[in-house]
Amino acid sequence: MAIDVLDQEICNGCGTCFACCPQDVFRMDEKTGKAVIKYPEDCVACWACEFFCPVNCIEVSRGRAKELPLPY
Amino acid sequence: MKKIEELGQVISTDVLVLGGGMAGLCAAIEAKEKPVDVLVVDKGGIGWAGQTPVGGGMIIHFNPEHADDWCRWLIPHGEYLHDQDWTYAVARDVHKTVMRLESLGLPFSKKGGEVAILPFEKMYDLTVFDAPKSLVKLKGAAKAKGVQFLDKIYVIDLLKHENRVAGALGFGLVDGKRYILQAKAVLIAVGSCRYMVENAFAVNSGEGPAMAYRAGAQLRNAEFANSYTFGARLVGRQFGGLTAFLHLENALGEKIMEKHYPESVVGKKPGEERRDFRQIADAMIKEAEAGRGPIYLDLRKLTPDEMDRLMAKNIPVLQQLADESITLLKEKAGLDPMKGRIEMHPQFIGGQGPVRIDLDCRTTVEGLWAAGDAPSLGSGWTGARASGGSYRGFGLCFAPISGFRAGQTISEYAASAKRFNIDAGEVKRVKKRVFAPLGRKGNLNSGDIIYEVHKAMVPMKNTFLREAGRLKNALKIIEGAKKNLPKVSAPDFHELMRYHQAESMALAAEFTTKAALMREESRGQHYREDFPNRDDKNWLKWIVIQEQDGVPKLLTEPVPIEKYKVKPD
Repeated sequence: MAIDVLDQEICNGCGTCFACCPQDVFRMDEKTGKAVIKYPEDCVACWACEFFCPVNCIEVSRGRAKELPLPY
Repeated sequence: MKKIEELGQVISTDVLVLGGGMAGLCAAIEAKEKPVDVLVVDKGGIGWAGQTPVGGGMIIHFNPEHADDWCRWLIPHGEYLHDQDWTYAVARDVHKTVMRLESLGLPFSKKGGEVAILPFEKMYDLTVFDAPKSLVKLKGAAKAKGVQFLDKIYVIDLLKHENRVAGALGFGLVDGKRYILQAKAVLIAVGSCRYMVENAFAVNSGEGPAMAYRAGAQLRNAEFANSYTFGARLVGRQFGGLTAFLHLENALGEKIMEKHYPESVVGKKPGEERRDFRQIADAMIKEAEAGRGPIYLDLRKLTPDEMDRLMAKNIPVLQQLADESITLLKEKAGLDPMKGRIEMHPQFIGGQGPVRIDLDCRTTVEGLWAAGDAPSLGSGWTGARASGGSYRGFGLCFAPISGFRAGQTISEYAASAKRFNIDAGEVKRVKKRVFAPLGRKGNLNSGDIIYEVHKAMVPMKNTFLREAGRLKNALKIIEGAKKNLPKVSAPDFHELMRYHQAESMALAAEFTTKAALMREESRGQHYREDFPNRDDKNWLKWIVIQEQDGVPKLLTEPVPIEKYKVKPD
């Protein structure tokens, strides 16, 4: 559901996901200098982090923690 | 009395820009033409934050010689609720704004070394740029001019000195550090309210209009916020194919646009079809209500020519967007659009903001400016329609146009104005409000409030096909959500931001719904089943909202149509 994976092995700590996330889902770990998923339930699956990550370490699936009401 | 230095870190600047997206960066760059200090603050990371990097990267373009024709086309379409001075100003600025952005390094698609102008509709063309990299470039240009930046600082309220805005209060999302930002003038460029619905544009939660309103600024045209586009249901996103609307069909395989809006699509040359999101959403809801839903897009039925147009084969930047939609469907939804039909649904995208501004981008409060989406509706440049979701390439163009204008006038003001020291009592008052949810006991979280607001705003029967009874019902839901706000606790600073986003969304929903209830006619994007006709006799008026005793007070103000060029027949 929404953000699933941030591979700590591959992450280069560039901070792009931390900067681009519209929902403030990430934090930079002070010890490792790498990004961590801090608030997964707030992810809205916009895919910005997955698209912009320069080393492809993030995977986001569709859906969100709380589904939206239907438009009809 | 404490000194304000004891209440947080005090940073003083001349021009404070809230929001580092397209509008904020353009304003900051322009402001540095004068010898003033400029600080840009954003809740995200400047360069990546805002709607532009995740948007389509399209800005309209036409020859300035056609400005008058263009206004005479646009104003009847927005049904005369324009501030026509603004409409004409945008028309005059479009070309020079594109050229200015190009000179600042915005990565436009080029042809023969010049910005490529792509014929799009009869009345205007499009320019396209590489959206993800665009703001990094603009940030670089701003930095080179000496603009200062603060990332990941959340600002939700302005600070005043007597009746003027003199700064803003912020806190660090990571460390919770309090910032007291003192300035000679403040620009709101934090977007409008997208209600966290359309995935890609979920960043703006109505904070701009909410903080302007609390500071006493007038709002205008709030009833025309909130539009729908259409999207692939499984990925909850707009579908990046410019001509996809031509091929939408119901469950029986009937083309829904030909059926409901033949005048927009039948017998038209390629490129002359009218792509009106209101019509598209209307055709979708009509079919769904008649039991012929859901609506599909079946790419297998397209001729090779139609497919090339849909995938924008000769426009690389647009093709990239269309490819992205197909990839998302394949990888995230397990659906290959070349092998099966795609279920489409009306996609709520929220709206433009109602902060009222004049041609200099000044709000009605001294010391406060607004640019970009926050005042897009409030400026009145598109009348009774939100620019985004009505016309391709319009939503974004207002950001640099208003940004450059705001930057010019705010820096002129700041160069000669004095800076007022904000008193500690004011800082304490605002701090108390902003930090109240932190650590208090409560059995709800912000997500509960946001879900209630969604229930009121997302269904088309409340925001698209309006009627008094249903609008009152939506208001009840919104008021219920607002009443529950004191039961929300925020365990940390991220949650504190979520609380203020929920509150801002509830307020945006209240503005829109109350104004929609008041406007007893149909006009532009606002359709009332119980008042289906336009009523120029009684309603050639703006609805203006202003805070009075803690609640929104709605007033009407006649559109000064007699002084405008374009008049109703």
